[in-house]
Amino acid sequence: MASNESFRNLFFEEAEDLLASLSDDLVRLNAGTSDNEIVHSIFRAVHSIKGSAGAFALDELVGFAHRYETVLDEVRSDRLELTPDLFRVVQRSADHLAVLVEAARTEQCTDRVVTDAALAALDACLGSNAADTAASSTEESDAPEQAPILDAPLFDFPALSLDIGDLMSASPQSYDICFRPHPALYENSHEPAFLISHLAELGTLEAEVDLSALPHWSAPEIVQPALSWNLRLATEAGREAIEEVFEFVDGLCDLTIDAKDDDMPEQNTQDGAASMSMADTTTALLDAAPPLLQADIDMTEAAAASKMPDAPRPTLRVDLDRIERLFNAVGELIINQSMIAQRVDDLQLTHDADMTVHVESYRLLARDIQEAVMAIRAQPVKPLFQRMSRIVREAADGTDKQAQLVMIGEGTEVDKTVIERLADPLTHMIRNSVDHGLETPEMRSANGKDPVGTIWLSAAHRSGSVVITIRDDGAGLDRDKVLGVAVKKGLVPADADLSETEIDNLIFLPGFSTASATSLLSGRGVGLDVVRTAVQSLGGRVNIVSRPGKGTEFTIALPLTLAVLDGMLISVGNISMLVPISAVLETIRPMAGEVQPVGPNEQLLSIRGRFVPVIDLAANLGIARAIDADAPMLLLLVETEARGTCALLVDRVHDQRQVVIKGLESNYGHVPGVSAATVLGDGQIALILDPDAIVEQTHGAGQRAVSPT
Amino acid sequence: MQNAADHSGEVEFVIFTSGGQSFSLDIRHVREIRGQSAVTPLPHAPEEVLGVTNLRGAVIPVFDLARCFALGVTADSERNVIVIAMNGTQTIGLLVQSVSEIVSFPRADIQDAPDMLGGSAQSHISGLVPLQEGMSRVIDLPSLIQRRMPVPA
Amino acid sequence: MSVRENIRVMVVDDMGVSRALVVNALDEMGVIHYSAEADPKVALAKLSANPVHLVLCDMNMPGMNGLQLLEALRRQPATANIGFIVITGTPSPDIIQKGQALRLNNLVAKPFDTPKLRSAIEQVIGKRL
Repeated sequence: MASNESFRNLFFEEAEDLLASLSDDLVRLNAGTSDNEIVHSIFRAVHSIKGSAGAFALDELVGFAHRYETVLDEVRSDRLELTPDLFRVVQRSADHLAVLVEAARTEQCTDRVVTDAALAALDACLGSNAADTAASSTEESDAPEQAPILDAPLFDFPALSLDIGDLMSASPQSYDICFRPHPALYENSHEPAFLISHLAELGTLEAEVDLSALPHWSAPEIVQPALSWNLRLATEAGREAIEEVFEFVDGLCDLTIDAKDDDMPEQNTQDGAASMSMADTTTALLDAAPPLLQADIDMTEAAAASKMPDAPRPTLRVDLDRIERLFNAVGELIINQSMIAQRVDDLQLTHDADMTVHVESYRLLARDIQEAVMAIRAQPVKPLFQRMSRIVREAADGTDKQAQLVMIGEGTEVDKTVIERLADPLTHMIRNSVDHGLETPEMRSANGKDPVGTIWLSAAHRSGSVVITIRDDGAGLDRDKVLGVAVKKGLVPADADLSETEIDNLIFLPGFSTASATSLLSGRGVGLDVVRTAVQSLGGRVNIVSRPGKGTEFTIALPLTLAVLDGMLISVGNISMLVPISAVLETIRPMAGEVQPVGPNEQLLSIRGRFVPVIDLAANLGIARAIDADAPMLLLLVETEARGTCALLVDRVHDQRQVVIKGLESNYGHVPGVSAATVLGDGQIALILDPDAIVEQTHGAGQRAVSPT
Repeated sequence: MQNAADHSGEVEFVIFTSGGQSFSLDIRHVREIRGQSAVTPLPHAPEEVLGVTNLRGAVIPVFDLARCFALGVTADSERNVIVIAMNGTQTIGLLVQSVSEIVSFPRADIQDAPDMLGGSAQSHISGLVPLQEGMSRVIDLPSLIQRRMPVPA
Repeated sequence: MSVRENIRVMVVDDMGVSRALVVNALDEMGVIHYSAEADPKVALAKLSANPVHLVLCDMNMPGMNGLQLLEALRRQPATANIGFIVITGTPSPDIIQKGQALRLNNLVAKPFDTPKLRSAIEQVIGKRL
């Protein structure tokens, strides 16, 4: 019965939420605010996951959750003291639970050995002092769902003392409804028969047409609708449901709804006698029928309790496709808005103040809608960060280091897609920080540091982008070693004169990281170049700052969303294009002599004592230039990850604007040097350039900006 | 494009002219026909790919059908139209000289393209249909597009 | 009208999956009148205002567990006789013992299937659904 995919999805969504709250609770517990309520809450989360997982025959998950829950139960009932060692096990078990849930979700096999080890750790906690209580559950832990106790009930549960039939006939409330449509109701295409059939769905309906207002057949013509209906509805649905049926004809008819049995909740008499007499007057009420009078107090209390401030805010799960559709429509709206604005501008309707105001409010409205829609896709980075705290523990265990993760700004919201695609690079960087950044506890102690290394993971919004930093208080990069490795691998010439930043950035080069340069942990065949590529594909960039002895900080700057982009509109030939503003440093009109030819096809720009390569965009993209070769040059200085600063030769620089990103891949495919496209105000398509790709394809041989010596 | 085993029923074709020759496309592939609109060239694209255009917010590539069949370049003309065609989920535009009519043929009337056709003609034509004045070449759209699409990144 | 068309049931479970699974089972049985609540306190309020014949309730929920809900229901005359079945992943002797004291009508262990739930309900109402 539980094979249904939607149930499964619901389970994993809820399990994810529970794991997140579990993770929160563990942090609170760790912070020393340990109290039984937190342990209880952890227990409940594990229990809920176990309970639901059982329905999907996720045996390994259920078995593990069961043992985990047993330990937590011992802790919450004070039979087991939460020592630091035990806390560690509780924490690792939460990690493993998350791994098992993820494995179940992706239908991948887990390493049974790891689960067995985790189970053994839990068993060790139960030890001898809890043997009595744990014994039974340990025995059946591999098949907790087969609770033999229930197959043969130990006692007879009491049978129900209510009579179904009686209660049924007693409970519905009867309403007398008088419904007299106005002409406007018919004019608005409402159909009384339709409304009445809706009412009939709520319960048992008796309908009687009142023809009294109908003119005599001999009357010249029927102008006014003359029919009205007297309806009697017996329903459990309540007055609101009835009113809902007539919601759309409100004001288009005369409508009275009278409850036949006058027991509206407003009659708040606390008097038992009153309730007695009421019961007398009503014919069909049984003992079990709603004696609302007594219930009122409890109801208000309960209602108040349910509105406690810590109650989660109501949320709505929506199919992602629907959001995509809305998202696309808003993109169209923004484009349409800018087209209209441009058209109005072209018509020079400046004397028409009204028009100007309308166009401006249209613009603001469109931006408002856009922001609101973006907010739907925005999610806090917290779950992602929480996963990282698991990665830190795993990595520390694997390298015999001690590490703690401190999260800052985990409430920062970023587009869902960005978060999803950030998971892998971030995991890699966190592992890298523990593995290469932090020293061993012995070394740290010897250097007067806390043996426990700290990794700070922070997120913050900074002018239209989100900035994520990964900082450790480790040894920092060993620049001599880094340079040595790079030279040995032929990534830089042996006599290269590189700045400290340039040396630090060598670790992002493809081919820098190899098995020999990495420990067991990071030796997974991927280097930081993969991280850089992943971040770049998200339209972001990654930087490194390292201080010897003090630590290393990686900064990832990402766009808040993948849907819009701030770009500089340029043209080459007669073609408009956008360069992402995140890459643009400045525009330059070089003076004579500042650009010098090097070899037959290369040019270098001399700027502030540095030489940067000039890339002729027209030649690069195979476009004929619109301007004479003799005309003054216009250069766009861009920062690229691979080749540092480069100058793009363009014909014109127009303005800076925000554009909606449109993929080229779905209808065409990947275009070298181009990341996507957008629709401009005039309806024309402009390509969005990828400076890094352009630089790469121009300088296949690998030329770098070098400092003059 | 059409099921060879199924010879029952009729197939509707949109007939158009490109490079002075008549071509036809199964109407189920055709989404709409538009006048020629601004096309933004794509760098490093094959010569028959004119560029991309804006179809109600979607970015779609436009092919010069004449060049696809090595019939020269479709000259700029106000009469030129773009046939918007769907190939699965992919939407593309085909620049042609003019669209003449929509004709319905019994399936049995569609003839296989003779083997003697060489080069691009053979690989992108799935059959021939008779017209009053001669015949029209049935375009094999998937084959026409596939060759010209870049490898996914 | 048959019992399954008459009986009114409320499902109380904080987990959406569990609610959906119980509701699905009720659908399969042909039970028409049912509602589902995530919050036991809200369930209590609704039951007080509008009692049902039978409550199918999860054991472990934040704020109020299944037996606490049962106790609250038993304390009010209006709801004192409502049929109450606890659905739990950990059917301990403790739950059974406390449940017995509160006139718990039945107990179903997770995971359950429709026949299992149906027979538990039939035991309580003493009739075929």
